[in-house]
Amino acid sequence: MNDKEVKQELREALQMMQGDDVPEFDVLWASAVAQHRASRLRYQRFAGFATAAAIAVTAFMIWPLNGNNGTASYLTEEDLMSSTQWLAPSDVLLPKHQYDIYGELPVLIETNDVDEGSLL
Amino acid sequence: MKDDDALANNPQVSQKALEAIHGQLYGWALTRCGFDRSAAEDLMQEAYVAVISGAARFDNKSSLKTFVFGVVQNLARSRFRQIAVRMRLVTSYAADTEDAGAGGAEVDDKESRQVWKAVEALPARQRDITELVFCREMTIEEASAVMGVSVGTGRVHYDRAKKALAGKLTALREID
Repeated sequence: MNDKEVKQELREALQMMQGDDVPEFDVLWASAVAQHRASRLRYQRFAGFATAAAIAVTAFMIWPLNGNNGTASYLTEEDLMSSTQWLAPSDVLLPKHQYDIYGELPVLIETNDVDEGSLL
Repeated sequence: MKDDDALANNPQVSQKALEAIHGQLYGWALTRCGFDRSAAEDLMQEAYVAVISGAARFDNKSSLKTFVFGVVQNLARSRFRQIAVRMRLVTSYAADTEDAGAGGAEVDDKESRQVWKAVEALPARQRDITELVFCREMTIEEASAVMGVSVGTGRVHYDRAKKALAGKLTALREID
C-alpha cells in the first residue's frame, strides 16, 4: 500500500467519521465574543469591588476614633472635677513589677543602739 | 466592545481568515474530543476566546492555520485532556463490545470505523501527525509546529506512523 492509497483511505474514513455538520462560524464567534465580554466585565467588577474594599479597610484603620484628630490630649483638673464621668487611667501606667514587701524590701536593722542621741 | 474590535488584542488575525479555516479547525477539534460534537464546539469556542482575549497571540511567525490549530491542540491538551482520554477509553470499550456496529453509534460505516480505529491505535504523536499531514493538508514542518515538536521529531513520527498504518490497512484489506 503506497502513501497515496493510505492518504485516500484515511481521508475517506475521517470524512465519514466527521460527517458534514459543521457549526456555523458566526454562532461560535458570537458566543466567544460574548464569553470574553462577560469574563472581562466580571473581572472589572471584581477589581472594582476589591479596590473599594481595600479603600474602606484602610480608611477605617486610619480614621481618628471619637473625634480624636490624632494629637495628644489631656484633661485639666477643672474638666475632671466638673465632669460626672471619669475614665480610669490606662494600665500602661501601672508598674509591671509587683513588689513582694516581705521578700524584697530590705530587712530593717533591729537594734536599740543610738548614735548621737538618735536611734539607728 | 463592538464586534469589529473583537480582535483588537490580536491585530494580525482577521475574522474572515478564521472563518475560511473554520471547517478544518472544527474537524481538528472533533478528533481532539473523540468525535464528541458538543465538546468540540466548546473547545472551538475556548480557542476563539483565547484569540479574542489575546491569551494566544499570533505574531505572523507561522501561518494562521498552524497557529489556530496549535491553540486548539494546547487547549485540548490542558482542559480537555482528561475528558478526551476518558471518552477515548469509553469509545474504545464500546467499539469492542459492539463490534458488529449495530445501532447507537453515530457512524454507520464499519469500514471507516475500522480504518480510523487503526489510526487511533497509533501513539498520540503519530496519530496527530498522520491526521495533520494526510487529512488537514499540512506539511510536516507545519504539523510539527502545531504539535510543539521539532521538525526532526515530526519526521520520525510521520515515518513510523506511515509504516504502521500501511501495515494495518493492508491487513484490514486482506481480512475483507
